[in-house]
Amino acid sequence: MQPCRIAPRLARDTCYNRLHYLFTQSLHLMELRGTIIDDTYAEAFRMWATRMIVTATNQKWLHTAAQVVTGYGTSVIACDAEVGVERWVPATETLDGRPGVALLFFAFNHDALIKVIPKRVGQCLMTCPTTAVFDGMPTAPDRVPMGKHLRFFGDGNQKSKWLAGRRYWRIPIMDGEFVCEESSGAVKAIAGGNLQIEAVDQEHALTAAERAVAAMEALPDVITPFPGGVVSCGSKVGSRYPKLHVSANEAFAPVLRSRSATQLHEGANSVLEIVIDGLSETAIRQAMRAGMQAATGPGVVALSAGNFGGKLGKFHFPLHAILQGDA
Amino acid sequence: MALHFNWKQGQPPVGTIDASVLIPRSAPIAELAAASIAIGNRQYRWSDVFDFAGDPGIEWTVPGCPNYLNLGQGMSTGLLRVEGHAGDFAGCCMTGGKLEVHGSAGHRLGASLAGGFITVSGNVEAEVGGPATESFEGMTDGEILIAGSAGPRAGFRMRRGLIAMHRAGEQAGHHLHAGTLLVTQGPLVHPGLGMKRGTIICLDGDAKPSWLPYYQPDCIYRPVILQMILGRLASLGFHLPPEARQARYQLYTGDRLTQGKGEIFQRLAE
Repeated sequence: MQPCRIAPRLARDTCYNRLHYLFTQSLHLMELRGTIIDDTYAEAFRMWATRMIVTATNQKWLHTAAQVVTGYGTSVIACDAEVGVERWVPATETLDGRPGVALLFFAFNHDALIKVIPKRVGQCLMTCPTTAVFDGMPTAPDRVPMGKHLRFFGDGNQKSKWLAGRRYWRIPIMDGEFVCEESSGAVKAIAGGNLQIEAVDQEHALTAAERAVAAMEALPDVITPFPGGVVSCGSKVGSRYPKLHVSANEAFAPVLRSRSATQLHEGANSVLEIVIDGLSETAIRQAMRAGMQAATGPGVVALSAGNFGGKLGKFHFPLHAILQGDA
Repeated sequence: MALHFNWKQGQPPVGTIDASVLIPRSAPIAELAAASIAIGNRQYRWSDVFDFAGDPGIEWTVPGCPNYLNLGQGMSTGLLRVEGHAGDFAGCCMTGGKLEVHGSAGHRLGASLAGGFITVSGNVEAEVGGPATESFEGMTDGEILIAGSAGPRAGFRMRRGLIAMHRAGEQAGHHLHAGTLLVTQGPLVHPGLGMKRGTIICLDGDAKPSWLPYYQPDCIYRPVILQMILGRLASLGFHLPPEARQARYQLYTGDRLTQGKGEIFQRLAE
């Protein structure tokens, strides 16, 4: 039967790949607090990004707004944008003196952002009580419309106000007014920086990932758009099913260790990935460095990174060089 | 260090001084000294009127005089500091830079202002931010902060920008087309007569304003846009009453004899 004919070949390939992988790894071995750092790189690609500052009357409604507008914003594989919280902004720093949050939105290109932003602001923020939305990149020359489009909801009763050279729209709604800046700045950015944490079990992988995400959250200009900042199903490009563009990454799936060309280290039984989107290469490098330093420790077998042999994106983030501060 | 101008005779000359030529620019003192200035119906060299001290540059300090006309007209950059009265039409048609008046100013301060920033430590007379001579358009951009009182019809025919003052005379926002007028101490007397759009704000919760019958109350709320305006003013160093940012405001709209899209926010006593 066909499966029986394939199985020995698969086993042979798996064994060969594993040996080859271990051999090449042993040439450039690096360890940090007992965790092996693979001599590999994360591969990232060009995106466009915008930052907006959302404010609300209190933390409850601010968190609600942030939660809703960042929802379904994990990966542009299937979502319209990758969205995340960059930082929580104290009331003393916002334009209206209320607590705020800085959000970063990443999309494939400028046109995609132009489609995404008015929809998300209109459906997720204008509908959320007490919110107001401001441009987080006022000096960026490229613009993405916000209030410029949403104002028409006011049906002729909308008002604009210029303040310090910036234009804000005031749209009458049922709880008062929804204040939204005319547009938001957009810049070229990078998405797809990543770290893969291989641990002895799921608990260790999870705590290491949480430590890494916490370290990255403190840094500016980056987000980790997946749930809690962590991906449990890192993917590879392509699939045996023609309609699927991506599929499970066998090389990092512990349950397929014996049946695939695994790249897992010995003793690794759980892998979690952290995807990092940033406004610059420097920002992603800093986040990866902070994440690696935080993630290493007992129970974490190795840190690796996902790449596609340089075919996907032009930005490469080598783990060793980043950790040594060379890149 | 700024370039300081002082009266040559120890006091200002007699007659109206066409101060529109007093615009900060980087020029050697010799060149400035040779420039001409009209006083009354005669032309004088600046060196006949002023003594100069300090370094040339775009930061000038000039002595005050109520006889100034159009001081800093069309100024686009730099800082012009006036030690005393700024005269009528000071800061007229400015597009940028800063006019800092350490004293009072006359009629139509910031007339047809198109940009820049004006501060006055004293009072100003009528129609601040109104139209310049031979113009129907009041200020179209920029910010004017007045620590003292403004005369009648503040913001007359104003189209955009921000004027903040401690007290306002009657008919503040007369024929306001757009823009923002803020008064920290009320009451407002017949504000917004003929106002088409724009915003008048009174931060005095204890004041009993006298409204025109063409204004109707709409609602009571805490407008986010007001919190932004007050935040902007606070960042510029304008003195605001305590808790004004968190206060509730009654919104009135009018003037219903025109478009009725103007709005007056009256702070409510807590």
